[in-house]
Amino acid sequence: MKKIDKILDEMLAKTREIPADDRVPYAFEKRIMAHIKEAPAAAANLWELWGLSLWRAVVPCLAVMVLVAMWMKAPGETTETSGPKAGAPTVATIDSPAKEELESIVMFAIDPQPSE
Amino acid sequence: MDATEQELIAEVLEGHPDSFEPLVVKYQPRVFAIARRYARREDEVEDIVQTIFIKAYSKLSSFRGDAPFEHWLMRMATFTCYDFLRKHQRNREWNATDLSTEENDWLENVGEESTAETDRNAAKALVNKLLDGLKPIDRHIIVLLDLEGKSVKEIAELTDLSESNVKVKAHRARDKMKKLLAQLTPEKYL
Repeated sequence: MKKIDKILDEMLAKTREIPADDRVPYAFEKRIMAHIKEAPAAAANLWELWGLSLWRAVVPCLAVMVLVAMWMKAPGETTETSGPKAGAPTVATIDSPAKEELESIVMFAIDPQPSE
Repeated sequence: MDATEQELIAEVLEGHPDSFEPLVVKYQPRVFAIARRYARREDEVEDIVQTIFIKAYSKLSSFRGDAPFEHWLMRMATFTCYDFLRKHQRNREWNATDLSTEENDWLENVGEESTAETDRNAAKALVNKLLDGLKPIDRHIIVLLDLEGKSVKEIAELTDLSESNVKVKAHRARDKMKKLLAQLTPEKYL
């Protein structure tokens, strides 16, 4: 591996000897300046595009809103039908006694005359 | 910093973009030289340089003027070049490609004194092949340390790494380069 160390060091040293390539394409600064001057206009155009796309989104959003409203209405109908059906017997509900009351009833059933 | 440079920057900040042009003209050769260390294709180099100057223009208000404008711009150039590396080198697989005749000749004659330009170009081509096989951060460090001759301290500032971390990464990067070199020419150097 010693030879490889030497090769790598020399390779890097030789590469360092090469002067930096600082050529600049003809009128490159004009290209940069054109981009810089276009930039604010591009930003304005972005806002314009954003506004336009918002307007375009109005119709699909309304359509989605209507569809969702219709879908929401459908489960509402099922809740209405979940009540007692026409013709079905009406069942009276009995209020369940309180716990203490129930306990005393059970105790009375076990031992009707409690010892003193 | 030159008084004229300061004036130009102040004018740009006051809303005169044309005042930025002399700064571009002055510094574009240096920025091109830096970008060519990171990108091979000329269209990529031009895109990098353009990005650097547009970024510099849009962030000019953050330039405080306590350090030279050149340092501020070169720091931005280095960051942008590293961003380019990260975007373009991710998931790129390194392939040991065949060596050209010049590269083989150079490897055969390592250690012999030569000032021929072809020799230097062959060495540069080999270095570029090895750099292609490194991770972006490792490549960035080798370029700054071994090709641009920056100090470890300067690199630590440029990369937001600690000095010891820069040293460790440079050491590992060189090890990786040696392994890649051995892959390129296994029969001679293993």
